[in-house]
Amino acid sequence: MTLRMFITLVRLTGNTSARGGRLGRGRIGTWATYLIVLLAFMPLAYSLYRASDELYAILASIHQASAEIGMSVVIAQLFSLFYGLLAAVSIAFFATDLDKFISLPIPPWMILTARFVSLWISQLIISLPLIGPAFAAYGVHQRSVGVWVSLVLMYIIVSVVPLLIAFIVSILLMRVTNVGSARDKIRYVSGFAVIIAYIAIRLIGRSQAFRQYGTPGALATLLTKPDGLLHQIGRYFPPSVWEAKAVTSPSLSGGLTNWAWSILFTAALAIALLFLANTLFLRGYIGSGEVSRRGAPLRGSHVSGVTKNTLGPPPFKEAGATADQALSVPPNSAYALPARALGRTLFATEVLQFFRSPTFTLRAFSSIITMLVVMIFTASKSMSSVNVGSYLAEFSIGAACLMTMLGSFNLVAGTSFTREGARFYYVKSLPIPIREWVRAKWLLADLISLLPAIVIVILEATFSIPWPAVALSAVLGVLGFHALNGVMLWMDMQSPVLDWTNEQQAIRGLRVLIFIWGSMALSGALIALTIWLRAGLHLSDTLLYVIMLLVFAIGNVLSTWLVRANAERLLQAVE
Amino acid sequence: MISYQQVTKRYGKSPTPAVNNLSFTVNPGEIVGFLGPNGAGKTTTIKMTVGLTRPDSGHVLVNDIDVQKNPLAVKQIIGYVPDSPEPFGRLTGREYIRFMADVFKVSKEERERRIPELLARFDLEDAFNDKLSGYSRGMKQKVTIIGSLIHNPDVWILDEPMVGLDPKSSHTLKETMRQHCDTGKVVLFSTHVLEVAERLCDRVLIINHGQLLASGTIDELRQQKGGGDSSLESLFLELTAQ
Repeated sequence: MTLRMFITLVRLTGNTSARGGRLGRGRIGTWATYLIVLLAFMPLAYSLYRASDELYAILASIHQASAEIGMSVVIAQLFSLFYGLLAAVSIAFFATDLDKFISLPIPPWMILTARFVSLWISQLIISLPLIGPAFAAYGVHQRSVGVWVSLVLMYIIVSVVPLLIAFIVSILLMRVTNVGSARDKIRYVSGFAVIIAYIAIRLIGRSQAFRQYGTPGALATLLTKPDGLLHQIGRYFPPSVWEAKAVTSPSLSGGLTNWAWSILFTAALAIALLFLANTLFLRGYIGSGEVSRRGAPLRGSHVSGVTKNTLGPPPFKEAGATADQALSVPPNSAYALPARALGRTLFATEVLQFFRSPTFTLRAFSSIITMLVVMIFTASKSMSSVNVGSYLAEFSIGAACLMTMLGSFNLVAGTSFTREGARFYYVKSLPIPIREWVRAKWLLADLISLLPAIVIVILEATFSIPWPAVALSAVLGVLGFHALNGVMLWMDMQSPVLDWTNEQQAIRGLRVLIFIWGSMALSGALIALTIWLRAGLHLSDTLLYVIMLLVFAIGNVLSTWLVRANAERLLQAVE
Repeated sequence: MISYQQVTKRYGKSPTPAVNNLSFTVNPGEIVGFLGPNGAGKTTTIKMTVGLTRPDSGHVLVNDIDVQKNPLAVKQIIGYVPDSPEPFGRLTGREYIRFMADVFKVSKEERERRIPELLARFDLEDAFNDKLSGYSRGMKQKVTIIGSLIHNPDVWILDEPMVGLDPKSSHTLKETMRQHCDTGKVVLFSTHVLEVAERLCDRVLIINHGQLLASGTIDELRQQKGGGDSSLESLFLELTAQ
């Protein structure tokens, strides 16, 4: 009975029951779309595998093959910690559906553990592309069933430690902050703090990890040590080393010991979480709910001349009252904000709703900011040694592809209608033409996508790229993300998930992965096309630009057609 | 005027239609209460009227405009209060009402006149600048009611409007419904509170299994059931038990 209740809690947290029901009612078309998109990723997945395979060959030649597993484990764990912190704070701290469960006779540890498992499952999907290629390359070369079993087990547990840490931090935060009146502000501050910390760890880790190995002699010493690279990669977080060595060491000479260390460490964190769940979680939640959430009151001038005393007697039918006895309240301009055109009001409302929802805003900006900062850091170190002049066209088209990819990483278009949740039906009952509604959402997505594009253009200018090339890459980039946003909008209209109870559910799951990897695959394909046109067909710069402009323009036409032709039908069908 | 002409609606592959060949009319200047047990088809009928779902067959006409053929024109003359208010949680009351006024193209003068009046009536002035996510269930219901009335709709449709309202607000709402109707507009609402229907409605419609069981004033229903002074509750129980 307890297990069944626990599974129900996990399904409710992940909203899986609702999705299962949809599938059962014949949403096969939606899944077929996902399948086609996933199949389209195969070339990208294969190219990543090949890259991992080549890295394995290099590392194996210097007896450091374990470093590849170590690197992927560290990256996956860092990523899980980063998103785990953002997600755990949302689903364990600020979730609006906790009241429903807390009022039931369910122990707090079970509520929290169900939330943890739900997040863990979603993290399994997200971390697959990060560690899958490296694990596959390692497994193929090792040719051992035991190694494959270890790799699968490690894939399953690799996110557990960072997620446990994220939950523990969020419970502690919950207990020490009474944030009822400043919920959203705290979420923004903590969210951006996590983003900054993540960037700092990545950059410091990259620059400091091998600092003392600057001389050839020291580096040689490092490489001659068994697992020397692995230890160096994971020296700031030993559990990464234990987990990597659990897979890469033979069972009887360290593998089992490392498994034991990993399991013991995970168990210790799990026990700490269960203890905190039973002691602090409920108190923290109740404490944060006991703070007033009221905003700024109206000023006196707003309500002058308007009092309840102006109300007349209740004009009930049997009291013989008529409409003549309607209220007599003087007009007051202080209440009425100026009128706006429908398109403007829809866009303004989209913007307000989006930027006031920390879960959506942080999700949109976290990956963009992280990637941009890391990119700028990398570029600043390497660009001086690259002669851009020889590859000007490739460089500016590549920048446009990057704008396209980063422009869709924010997931704004891909969750346009899903973000509405249950409110979707209410808006649908209003006299709003669907094309206007869609336009407002597309415009918001483009607005957010513009941010990384602007940063990339500034970067290009910083590296003294001639302005015509910068301008062309900007035009291509805008065309690129606009088209991709249209496609993602269309995908969201196919089957918006409207029955979520906390905002995290709206931005998690398979569709998110498809959007991110889809945009990467598309950008990769465009870059490959550019390289082929240049190296294969030896086209001139001008012709290359013309062809790519044509490709991007056709993409826009197709995307606009996809949205225009289907929006009315798809959204009317959502009942 | 709302006219339902042999309207049928079935969800998915369900063998039983949610609404089955329903026909009735709600006239201007009339408050009509829509009664029926849970799952009787009240909300589905209302959703078909406001364009949230489409009938499989039949027509719903609002002021002689077919909802399916011209949904936007119909929505422009309807004010709708859903059974569970889901206003824009991240907007303040003021921003939400502005949004509704913009959507319904309410003039500046009309805004200045109607917004203070409605806020005073529903006692929401103090919370007008707060975010809707901080409102209680009843406050959300009240702000949704104000939003639905901002354009003084010809047809006002309310689905379970009394749920979540305190006695004073509930009283104010009934009073507002009566006033709206007295100006020649249509008010159609669903409710489970039979006392409200008995006191407020010009006519009640009793529906079950998607079919109309009875329609008329309380006296007419009593006469249909053989006279006497039976309450609406006993009439309702008798009709829906069949």
